[in-house]
Amino acid sequence: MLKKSKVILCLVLILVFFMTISLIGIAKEIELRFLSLQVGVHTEASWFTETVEKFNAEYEGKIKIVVDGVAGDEACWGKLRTDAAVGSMPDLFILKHDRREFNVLAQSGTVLALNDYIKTDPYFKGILNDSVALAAYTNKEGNVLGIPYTRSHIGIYYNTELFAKAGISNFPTTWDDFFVACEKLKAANIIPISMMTGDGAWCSMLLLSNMIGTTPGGLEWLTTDLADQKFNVPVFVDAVEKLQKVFSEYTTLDAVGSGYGVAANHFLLGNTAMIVNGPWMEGSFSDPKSAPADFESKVAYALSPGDGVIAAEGWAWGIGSKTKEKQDAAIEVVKFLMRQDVYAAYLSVSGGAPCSKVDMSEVRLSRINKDFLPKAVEAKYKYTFLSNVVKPAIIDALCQYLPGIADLSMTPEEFAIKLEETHNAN
Amino acid sequence: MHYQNRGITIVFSFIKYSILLFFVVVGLFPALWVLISSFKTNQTILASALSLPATLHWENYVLAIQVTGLPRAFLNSIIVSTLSVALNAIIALLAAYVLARFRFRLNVALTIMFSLGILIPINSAVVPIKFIMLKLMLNNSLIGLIILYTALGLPISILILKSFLLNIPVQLEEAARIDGAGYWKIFFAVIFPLSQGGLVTVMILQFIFCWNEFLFATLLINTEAKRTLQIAINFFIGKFSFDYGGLFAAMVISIMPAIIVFILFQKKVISGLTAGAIKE
Amino acid sequence: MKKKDRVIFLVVAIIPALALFVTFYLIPIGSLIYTSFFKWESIKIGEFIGFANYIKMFNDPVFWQALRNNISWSIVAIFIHIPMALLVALILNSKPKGWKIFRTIYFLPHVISITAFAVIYISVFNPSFGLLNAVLKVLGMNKYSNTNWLFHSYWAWKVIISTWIFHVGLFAMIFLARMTSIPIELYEAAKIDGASPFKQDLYITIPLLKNIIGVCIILDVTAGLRYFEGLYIMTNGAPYWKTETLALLIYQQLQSINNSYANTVGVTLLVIGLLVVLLFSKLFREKTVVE
Repeated sequence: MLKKSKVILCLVLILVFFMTISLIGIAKEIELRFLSLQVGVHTEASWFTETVEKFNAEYEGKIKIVVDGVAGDEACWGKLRTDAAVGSMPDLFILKHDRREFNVLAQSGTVLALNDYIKTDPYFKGILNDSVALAAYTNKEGNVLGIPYTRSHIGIYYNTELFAKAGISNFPTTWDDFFVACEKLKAANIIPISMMTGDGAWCSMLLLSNMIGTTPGGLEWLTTDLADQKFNVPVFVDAVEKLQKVFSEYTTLDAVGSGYGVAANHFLLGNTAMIVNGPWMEGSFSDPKSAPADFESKVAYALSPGDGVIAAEGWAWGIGSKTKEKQDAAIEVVKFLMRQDVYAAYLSVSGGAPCSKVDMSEVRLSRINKDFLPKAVEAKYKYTFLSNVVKPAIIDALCQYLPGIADLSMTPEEFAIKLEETHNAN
Repeated sequence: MHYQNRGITIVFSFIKYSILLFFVVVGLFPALWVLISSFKTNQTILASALSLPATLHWENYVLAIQVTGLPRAFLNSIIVSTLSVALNAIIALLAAYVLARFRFRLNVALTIMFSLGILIPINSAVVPIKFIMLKLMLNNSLIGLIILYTALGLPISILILKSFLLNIPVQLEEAARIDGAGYWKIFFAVIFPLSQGGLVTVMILQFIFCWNEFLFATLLINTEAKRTLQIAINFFIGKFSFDYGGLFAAMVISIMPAIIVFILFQKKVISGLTAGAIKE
Repeated sequence: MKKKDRVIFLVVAIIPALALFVTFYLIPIGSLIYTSFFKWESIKIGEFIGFANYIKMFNDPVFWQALRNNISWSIVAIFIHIPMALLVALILNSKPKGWKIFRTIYFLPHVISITAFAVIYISVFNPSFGLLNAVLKVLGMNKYSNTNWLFHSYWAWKVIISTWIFHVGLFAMIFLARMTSIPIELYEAAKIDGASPFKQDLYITIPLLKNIIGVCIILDVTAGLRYFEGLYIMTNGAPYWKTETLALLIYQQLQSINNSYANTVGVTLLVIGLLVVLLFSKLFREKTVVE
């Protein structure tokens, strides 16, 4: 009898022991899924890999970042929005300012609102000093959905050697001068500028944005909400007219239909003298696989003619965790990413501009950016780019109709009308 | 009595070989292009149509193997593809046999239902399928991929196998039935051996499908250890940066198994299968 | 052999396929049809709008252009692609020297992924440095040697067709697989009767291939209806939607988050596909004994 009760007592004690333990919670490592496109051949891939390793080392035993790498913007966005649709959001991800992506995620209700963290955590209070950036990632209900990380100033890269060959000493500051420069380049048997109509017509779209932003009324056009956008208006049609001139006379034969690869390659090989793209392209100037030796030294970065620069919000860090435990852990990661040494390293690699307080002396800018960024900050006109202020269907239509602009079978007015129709039909 | 007329034979031969040669050019061109490009760098790949590389850039292959986790991804793809191929073959054969040979009330309805599966727009199905995978706890697992691929390949496999099965003479089954064999015995002893031609075809197609599948592999796999080959290959392309040389080197590595599978499996198709059986 | 055994066998044999189908196809197809009647332009589904999407689709010129292109693709597939594959299979069946190597080479294009082909086609059709224009220059046809083939109003679609029309290896392989199970005695008997190889093919081989030809036609047409990846990379429908297809349209609409409209086109595609399968199944049916 006694033995039996002893056994029962032992069992009860063991049970109580385990219950207490589970209540206290044995410290276990929290795993966070970090969805990222900064992998593979992405210019920021090495920074990202090193940063994750540093974090995992410092937080070993407490928090572990597991990278879910998807190379390519489209593929990564596809995964993110699928996750949003089924409710399996990654714990950490890049939240782009791109209206198409941001609006979708904002409406999904799966992105963590960070207002409380920002208000109460002294760390954030100290460094988030940019209200414009914060506003860019705030949804209609006033929820801040991301911690802003970077914004980009996009100018025009040009080949100083080719410019010298054509007898152009300074990058043109007005559109008239721009076309004069194009003529000079053409006379020296150099194709002036790389254009493209595939891949969302990225570089061409940027040039068009510059053409709009530097003309009167352009700034208003580029801040209109996408639902209210109008295309059959003088400011847009005039810009398309300029674009048509470029497409029909001053670019490569294969501009129509080419994607980014071919357009960039022309510039890297010295076939064209200019290309409109952001600081992420810089890495390829010194990559032996993409550019000839010494190419980097020939490149300079200029403001758009008309004294304008594309100053676009880039992206923020978003959190999609569902449990409080993981949310807190994810915030720790974001704080780590905002740490001076990590942040400065990022800005050095990406050439982007910060969205919060950071000691710029630690940022090692490249030669090209050191020259460009001060000018960009002082530019007369600062605006975002076209894709951010139009419906996604417009960009698709753009790519369909640009060939008509290029071979002169379509007038700028007809082009604008077609875009207006697309806008109304969607 | 020989019908052959020497003149006509020579002309026929010439036409035959011309046609064969034409398709050799068509068939070899892409493969050769990928192979040659795998030794070039970005600049020359995008700049000229058919330049031979000045120097062989073996580092493309080194990069492909070392950096992108290719060996592990390769292994994962092999596991997923072979298991899915086997599963798909047996399940499709069973279903095709039922639909081909047995008359029962639901036969037509089932056939139509499986045919619906051929034309599902895969991108529209992405969200429902991911949802199902999550509910079944199959997300981020190779087993999940295997089951999904098996299912995705079923409609086409059933369609092809049905056709091959219809060509097996019924007498064989009847003979076996007279001998007292049950349904299962007939299936394994008679149908299975005689459908080699169809099985091989279906297995090759399923292998190619699994091996090259990218969409669901990306969406359903979250950890590096489980990535398949196509995901790893995709790491060579980004929106603004790309390494086509590395990409093609990785592709050459990835094409090898598919070709080997094809050659190995085709050996099985050669033997005349029912030729001897009828006499029995 | 009792009736019960038969029923058990049928059920057990069909269960795996049925289970997989119900799990992975029923919900997607159901959701496809269901959501086409709603407004769905973000993550959450919107309100019921009845047939509005269908009306929009029937009024959409892009839809009709895409449909025209799909029909043209299917016609090429049925009347040119499959017969060519059959011809090659017949030639290979006569086992000329090195036929095994030929068969493997012909299959190569089907193993290479779309991404590779996209870069290949840039290299062939690029107006500045592409292979086609280089060859035309050499041949002296300078009028054409600067054409931007993939983006030319007239040529674009024809060029797209040319990218797959000569890839006969897959169907040739399927035909060959079927041919090898034709009893040799049939040929021997015909030879004794004095038939030439040509006549043998015409009267023995081809009729016996009737069903598999139908299957290959179905496979080819449905593959064409499904195909969009290469198109997306090469032209994305440009110029002026001239190289648009229904599958590409669905993909583009999904990218623009017009989910319900995309699913409307998807339902249409499903219906077309079903009709294709049923039509050709019936046309190429062989009489067979069933039990």
